[in-house]
Amino acid sequence: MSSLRHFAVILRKDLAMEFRTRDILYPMALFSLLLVVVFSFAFLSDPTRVRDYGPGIIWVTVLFASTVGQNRLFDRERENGCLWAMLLTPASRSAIFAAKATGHFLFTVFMELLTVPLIILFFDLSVPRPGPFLGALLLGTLGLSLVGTLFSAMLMNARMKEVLLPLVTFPLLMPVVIAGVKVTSLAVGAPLAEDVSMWLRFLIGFDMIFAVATLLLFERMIRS
Amino acid sequence: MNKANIIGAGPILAILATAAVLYALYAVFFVAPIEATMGFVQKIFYFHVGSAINMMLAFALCGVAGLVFLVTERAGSRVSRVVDAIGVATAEVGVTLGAIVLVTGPLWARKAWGTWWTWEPRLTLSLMIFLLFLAYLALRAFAGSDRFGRGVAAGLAVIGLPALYFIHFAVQRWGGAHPQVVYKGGLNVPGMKLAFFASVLAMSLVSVALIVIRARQELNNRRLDDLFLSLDAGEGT
Amino acid sequence: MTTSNRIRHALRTVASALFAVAVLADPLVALAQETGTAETWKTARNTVQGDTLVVAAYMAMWFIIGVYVLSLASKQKVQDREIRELEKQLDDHSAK
Repeated sequence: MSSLRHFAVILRKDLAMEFRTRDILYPMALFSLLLVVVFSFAFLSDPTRVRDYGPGIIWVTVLFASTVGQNRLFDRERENGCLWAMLLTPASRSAIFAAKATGHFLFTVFMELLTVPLIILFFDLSVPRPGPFLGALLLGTLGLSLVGTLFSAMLMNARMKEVLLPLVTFPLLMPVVIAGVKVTSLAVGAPLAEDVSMWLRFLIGFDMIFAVATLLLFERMIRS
Repeated sequence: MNKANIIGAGPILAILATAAVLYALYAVFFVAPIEATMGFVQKIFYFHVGSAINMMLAFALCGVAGLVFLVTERAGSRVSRVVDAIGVATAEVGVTLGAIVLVTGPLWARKAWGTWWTWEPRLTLSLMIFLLFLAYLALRAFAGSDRFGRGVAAGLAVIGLPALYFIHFAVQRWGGAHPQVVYKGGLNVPGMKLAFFASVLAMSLVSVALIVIRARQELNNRRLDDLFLSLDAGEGT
Repeated sequence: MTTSNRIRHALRTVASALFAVAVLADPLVALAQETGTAETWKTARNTVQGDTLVVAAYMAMWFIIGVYVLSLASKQKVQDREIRELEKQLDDHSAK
């Protein structure tokens, strides 16, 4: 019970600081907006084919923007050696990790609330199945947050962190991108002979396994 | 020291590996008959698959080494040093094998499937393993050579194992109703079987020899660093 | 003969062997094809222009392994130098 409270305290601290400084949200939101604009110039606008590349644009934007967030996620902790102070408190490591990952998840969802409607608007996508569309985004974002937070914490002090982080997380996150693009394509009505629920279950499985794996690894890896 | 003897087996393993490779080459080119539909180009297959199998094994070994490292690391024991060295060695040899797989694969596909590259599940999976290995080596090179940096790399190797399962599953279903390419169907000819197993074994021996030599080198490096450090400390007092 | 010299020598041998294989590759391929069973040989010869692909694949494979062995050797060279340095420092130390 107390570790739940630790979780809540750390998360509230992060959210409060974020909504005052907007250190993470501003770069993420601005970067994703610019990405959307770049994509709209990078692809020839062919209204008949938007279903083919629309889901890809959504997921590339989410992936890149979440990486921007990951890069900055532990900046505050690094500057004053705050993470070590946090580790000295009675809060369990799992609580710290869960709070940071939840924080990143919420920031990314916030960014998506801004960007995804814009993509739908700019590219004139229609979403006949909003349920799977939202489900894939939430489940996929959770996967991105888990893996991203783990390595963001580990690489906090590494030089070249900005380069190393995507190098490490992108291969690990490839299943999320594959499943996400599949579900999103189906949700916007792409004529694919595939099962939405299979891919959604796949995403749930990924999140579950990686929630356990990242929690265990965080405890092990942070020891030194 | 017992362990030192095992680790010192590098040169013997290298000789064994060379002999096995020569025999496998002989079996591939002179014993195995030419395959009827694909023809001579099918001979790429033997060493290609041999490299691929050993790449997977190297990756699994790297993950296991990472796990043992994370468990034993706190004690700073000799075990953690050995598995750390094995981690680097398997990753480097894995990248080498992966490069072989990714170069020979397209050469074979050019003739067999008429295209250099296709996003076929197995090919995609090999590429992803290769990328994970590269990320591991990048971590080893740039994330610091202290305990922390080693721990991050070990963590990647460990988490790579479940990730690989998901990647495998995803790329299998990704292409939709893509038929599996059946490799083993044509292997009922005795000569082909011999060539196949000989080349798999040869590549295994090559990998083991390289891993042992590299791991020993890494261990010696650590020992050297320690000696220099203790020498400096001794001169300081 | 020091270790690094020995390694350099061995590498030179390997390199010349590779060169020899490169030069001899075509006749070897022809020889290998002739040893295939007679009835498949004919059909194979008509359908296949894959010889260069096979040669390229095997060359590439040994090239990649060769590059890795070279990198191992160069790391070994650095290590040998460090060992000599350490020995020198130790000698200085005990002479003091």
